[in-house]
This record gives sequence, structure tokens and C-alpha cells, in this order.
Amino acid sequence: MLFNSNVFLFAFLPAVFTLFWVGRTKQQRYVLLTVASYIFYGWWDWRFCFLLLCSSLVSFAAGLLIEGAPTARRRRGIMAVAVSVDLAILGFFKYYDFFAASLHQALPFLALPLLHVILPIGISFYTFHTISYVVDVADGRVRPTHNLIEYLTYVSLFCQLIAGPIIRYRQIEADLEAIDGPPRPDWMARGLGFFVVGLIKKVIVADSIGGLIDPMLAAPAGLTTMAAWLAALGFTLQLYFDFSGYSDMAVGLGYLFGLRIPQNFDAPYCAAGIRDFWRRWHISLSTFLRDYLYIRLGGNRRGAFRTHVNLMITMLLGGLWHGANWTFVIWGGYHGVLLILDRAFEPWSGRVPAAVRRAVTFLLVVIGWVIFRSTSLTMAGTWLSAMAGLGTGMEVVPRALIGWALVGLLAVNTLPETWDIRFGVTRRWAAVYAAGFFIAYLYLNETPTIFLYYQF
Amino acid sequence: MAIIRTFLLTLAALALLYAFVVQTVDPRGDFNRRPTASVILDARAEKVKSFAAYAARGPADGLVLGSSRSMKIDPQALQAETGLRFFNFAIEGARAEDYLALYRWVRAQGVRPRVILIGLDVEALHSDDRPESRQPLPGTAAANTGDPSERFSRWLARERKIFGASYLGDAIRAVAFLPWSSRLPYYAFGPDGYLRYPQFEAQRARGTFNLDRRVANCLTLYLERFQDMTGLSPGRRAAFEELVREAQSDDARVVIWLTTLHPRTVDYLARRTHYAELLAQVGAYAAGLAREPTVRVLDLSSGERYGATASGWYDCGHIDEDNAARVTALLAAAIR
Repeated sequence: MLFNSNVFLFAFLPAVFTLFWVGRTKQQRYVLLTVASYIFYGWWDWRFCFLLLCSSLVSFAAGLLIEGAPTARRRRGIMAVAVSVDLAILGFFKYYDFFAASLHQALPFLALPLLHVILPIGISFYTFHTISYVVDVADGRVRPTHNLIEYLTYVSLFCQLIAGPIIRYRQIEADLEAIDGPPRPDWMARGLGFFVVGLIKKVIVADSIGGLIDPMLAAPAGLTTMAAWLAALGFTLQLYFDFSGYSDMAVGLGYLFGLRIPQNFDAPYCAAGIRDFWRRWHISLSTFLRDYLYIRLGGNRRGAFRTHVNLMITMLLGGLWHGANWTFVIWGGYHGVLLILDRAFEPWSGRVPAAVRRAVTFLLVVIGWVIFRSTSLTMAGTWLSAMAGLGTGMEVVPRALIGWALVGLLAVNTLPETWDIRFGVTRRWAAVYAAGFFIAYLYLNETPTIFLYYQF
Repeated sequence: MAIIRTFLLTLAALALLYAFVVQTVDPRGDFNRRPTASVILDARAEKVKSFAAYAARGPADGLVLGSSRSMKIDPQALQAETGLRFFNFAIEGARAEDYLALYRWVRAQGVRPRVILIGLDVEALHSDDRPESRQPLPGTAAANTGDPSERFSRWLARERKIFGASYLGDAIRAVAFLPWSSRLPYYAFGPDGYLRYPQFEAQRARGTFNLDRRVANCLTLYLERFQDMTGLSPGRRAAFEELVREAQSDDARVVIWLTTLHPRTVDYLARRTHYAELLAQVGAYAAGLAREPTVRVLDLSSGERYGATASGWYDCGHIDEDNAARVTALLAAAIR
């Protein structure tokens, strides 16, 4: 089920919202949210609900076992088993065919059967939820919950189940514990505001840009230099408005149910450096990778060389997390190199004017998105060649794309991030939110599209 | 919860107000109100009306069927060449079943054409087998259906359709064509069904018509149309063959011509879709039909085949008067 679908907006959400606030006790609300979230998830393919349940049960049990384990070594052992189970499920469903095909390409005498495994939607996100929970329990950062339904609510919460943000249990634990509280008008207002802003970002801006660049990228060999750059810029903006729009909607939905979902974007295209960019882009993923991978590998505590190696490993795996394709690995590696260079040039980069650093960072990020958007290395090469002026295409650039690119650039550089908007809480503001929703709906109802991050 | 209540009430009020306004403006003629000029082609409604008047004034010896790509075939030019009185019954977005439905409708009016000219588009045999969501022709069984569930689903689809940005855009454009406006309409049909583009004709006269821009703007529309077309629909081929059979049993001669797209559109589609293969399949299919003695097929699917000029277009798929005259001359020769 998509946030931007009629069934979600006019059936699922009103029903769940009404029942949620009719319910009074914690347990009633946990049960309702869990059942609703499984319906939400199963709407796509009910069979994968069992996978979600299995992953949740393993990590819930691991939490309890870790709590009862007498020694640190036993705790770490249980954690390792639970994380391995999670990663094995993720690895099989997401990467098996990719590795089998890649292995066969590299070593033709090794031919593992291709199973054409269907990728369960949202698996990358909920696997990270469960991993973060188990690791945090093992590290003593959170106390495991003894309430299974509460835990199932946390893992399956429909607001963020499919495409994040990746929430750690400790970030939402307090709100889950206080879920039986009365509705707060300011949270309701923020919920509506966030949801409507996210919807507008997605269905008006991102989908309009996507509708213009997708046909261009269906035949990248036809791109002229200008068309290639505009397509790259268009995708840069589309991805931001699509994913941050989704994240805003998730945050808004969270507020409507009394749950605060953390910030996932902070004006990433205003970043003045690649490290700065990763502090602002998909914050929940970059902090997850930092805390659960980079620091575990040793972080920057073992000298410059090892720091660079750790950075590279983190970014390569971060790239691979996005999808089973070498383009994602290379995109991760590209950002790994940029992060290493960012650190290496740190003593001098401070002397460069901030505007120049911002422009250079943006340019580097745009180039990275070309690799990210490409469906194959050939496509990436063709597209980048066209950007470098080596293309032979005759593609005409839609004038609307130039307009959207200018509007988008202006927006990301001048408008406040959704988190910086002070949403009004009076009834007058409700009318504004309704008007915004209505306008967005007129776009949504034309051709509903999926969110880009649903595929990850 | 007061803010939620206000939100929902405002939303409901906005939806009702919007529905009232766009239904009153009725930019696409969906609600039979139409106080303004239609901003989109609505040939079904308009030609059904004008055909009755046309047939009352004299015999309708010939019929032009097809999509909007065939609307520039001039009945007067055909009459001048063949002596037969033609009506252009081409309608926008026509599929094979539309050709058949229109022919049957014409026959149901007691008219028996002697010649049927059919502009066959590749997508007239589209594999999606999805009928266009338009109002059925007046007087047809579909229009008179008494099935409440079908009527309800049609009503629901129509109501849902109005809540769209493009529908709102059409409503705004329609208001710009209100009687007191001096703006020329985009489209106008003559009493014989011949299409004119008054606004573009005026732009051409002023030298402000920009064909390149118009083609660039419509490429993606054609891409959408073709990107999920995987082959020729058996159902649509059957409808088309039924049309030919019925025309033959009515002793009518049938001339089929494969319509053409702007060369840039062809190139654009060929690189992204199966257009080239589909065109070849349609060509082979039509050639198969030409084995019948009363059926002739002209392959005019590329400009070279009828000497098209590069500037003789209005957009991605619609030829202008000049190129249409070349096609018409070949059709007239085929009839003779």
C-alpha cells in the first residue's frame, strides 16, 4: 500500500486513525497498530508478513536472552547469532541472485542456480531496525522490552516500515511507552503539516520531474550534453523531493499516532563538503552505518590508513545496501573516495569560500546520482560520457524540465527544510493543510507512482 | 481533535466546490453541459450530431474512419476527385473496436456508405485491450444500459477523473474560451467532420508557430501510448476484420491506409519501444487483408511514401493540410 494511494488515504488511514483514538489502553493501541501495519505490508504480498514476523520474533527473543545472559561473552554470542540470522535473510532475499550471477561471470565454471527471488519490500529497513535493537540491547544502551506486541509495533510500524526512516528502539521507546496518552493538538497539527508538505513534495515536484526525465533516460545514448546534465540535475532533485517527501509523510503519520519519528533530511544540497552532505542526507541510514559499522570497524581510532579503509568499507556496504547492482557498489565507493579526500583536504578546505564548497559538493553529489540512477555500468558510462561532451545524441530537452530544475534548485537553496517550518496549530491552519492536501491530490489522482526508495 | 475535524470539513467543502465548478464548466463534455468550447477533441459527441445533419442534406457515399491522425482527410477534396460525398468520422484515440462501433452506428442510422476509408494506426490494435473511458455513443446499447452497477461504476470513474490536475487545467482553459473571449479555439470541425486547427493556423499565418517545440512537448505522450504495447491484440484484430466483413457484405469498398507519425516521433519511439516491430506487424496484417478483392491497402506509414514535407505537421502525429492533401490524393486514386 502506498501513502499516495486512494486506498491508503481514504480507507486505511481514516479507519486506523479512528480506531486508534477510540482505543484507550496501551495494549489495544499496540495491537491495532501491529495488525494495521501487517495489513499495510501484506497488501503488497501477504506471504512476506511471515518473514517480517520471523525477523521480529528472532530479535525479540534475542533481546530477552541477552538480558538473561550471565556473561558478556554469552551476550555477544547471542547478538552475533541474531544479527547473522537477520543478515542471512536479507542476504538471501536481496543479494543471492546478484552474487550468483556475479560469481558466474567472474568464475564461469561456477554456476550457482539463479532463483529469481522476489525482493520483499522494505526488508532492508526493517532488518536494520531489528539489528539496531539487538546490538543496542547487547551493548546495554536499551533495556529489552518484555512486551511482544509493543516490539512488533516498533518493527512493523506502517509509517516507516517500507522506506524508513530507520528508527532505533531507543528513539521511539518513550513514545511507545506513553502511547495511551490523549491526543495532543500541536502534534496533530504538525502531523497534518508534515504529511501535506511531504505529499506535495512527492506528487507535485518529484513526480513531475520524474515524468520528464524517465523517458530521456530510457535511451541514454540519445542524450546531448545539455540533456545529460539536465537529466542528472532532474534526478538529483527528484530523488530528494521523493525521498524527503516520503520521510515527511512518515513523520507526519507518526505525529498523528503520538509517535515522534526522527529527522531524516536536513537541507542536504546546502552541504559544504561530502561529510557535511552525509550528515544531512538520509540521516537515519548514515548514522546507522556510522554507529553500527564504521565505529565497530574501529572508526578513526586506529590511524589514518585504517580510518580510510573503514570509511571505504562502510560506504561500499552502504552502497550495496541500496540494491543488488554494481552501480550501487560503485556509487558507494565513489562516496567513500570523496569522504577520504574530504578528510585529506580538511586543513585547506576551510580557506575556500563556503559558496564554492557548496557548489563543488553539489556537483560531486550530482555526478554520484548519475551512477546511482543508472541501471547498469554501461548506462552510467554513456550518461557520464554525454555529460562530458562525448555524447552523440540528439535528445531535445523538454522545456518543462528546465523550469522544474530552476524551481527545484531555488527551493532546495532557499526554502526551509520541513523540520524548520513552524506549523500553525490553529483551526485556520487546518484549512491551509486541507487546501494543500487537495491540490496535491489533484496531482496524485492522475498517475499514482511508487516512492523511489521503495525499491531498496 | 478539533484541528482534524476542521481539516476534514474543509477538505469535503473544497471537494464539493471543485466538483460543482468543473462539472459546470464541463471542459471535456463529460456531463453534457458544455457552456464553453471543448478544449479537448470530443469528436464522438460532435460528429454524431453533425453526421445526422450531413446525411439529411444528401447521400453519404463514403466514410473516413480512423483516429485524430485521419481527421485532416478532407471530404471535399475526396468529392472533387471521386464525385462521392464523404463524411470524416475519425475520432480521437480510436481503437479497432471504435471503427467498428462507428460503422455500425452509421448503418443503424439507415446510411449505407459505398466506400470506407480507414486510417489504421499501430495503436488501434493495442495489446492492452483496455477501452478508452469515454461516454458510449448515443443510441448504442452501452449508452442505454440499465444495469445499475455498471452505471454506478461509470459514474464513479467519471467523478474520479475530474479530480485530476489535467482536468483542472482543461477547465481553466475552457473558461478562457468563454463567448466573450477573443481566443481562437484549438479545434473546430466542419459540417463534414473535417478538422481545422484555428489557433495553429493563425500562428502559422503570423509566423509564430513552433513545430519543433510542439513535437518536443508531445513525444512523451506517444511514449506512454507505446511503451506497454507488446503486440497486436487478437480481440482488436477480430473487431477490425469484422468491420471489413460487414462493409463487404454491405457491398462497400474498403481502402485501408497505414497512418504516419512525425519522423522525430518515429525515431524517438524506435529507440525506446517496440514501435518499429509493431509497425511491421501491422503492415503485414493489413497486407493480409488486402487479399480480399474489395479491400485495398496503402502503406503510408512513412513520409517518403507519400512525399511528405518536413514542415507539414502540427505535432508528433498530426499532418497539416499540405501533407494531408498528398495522402488524400493517393486515397482518391485508390478509390478510382
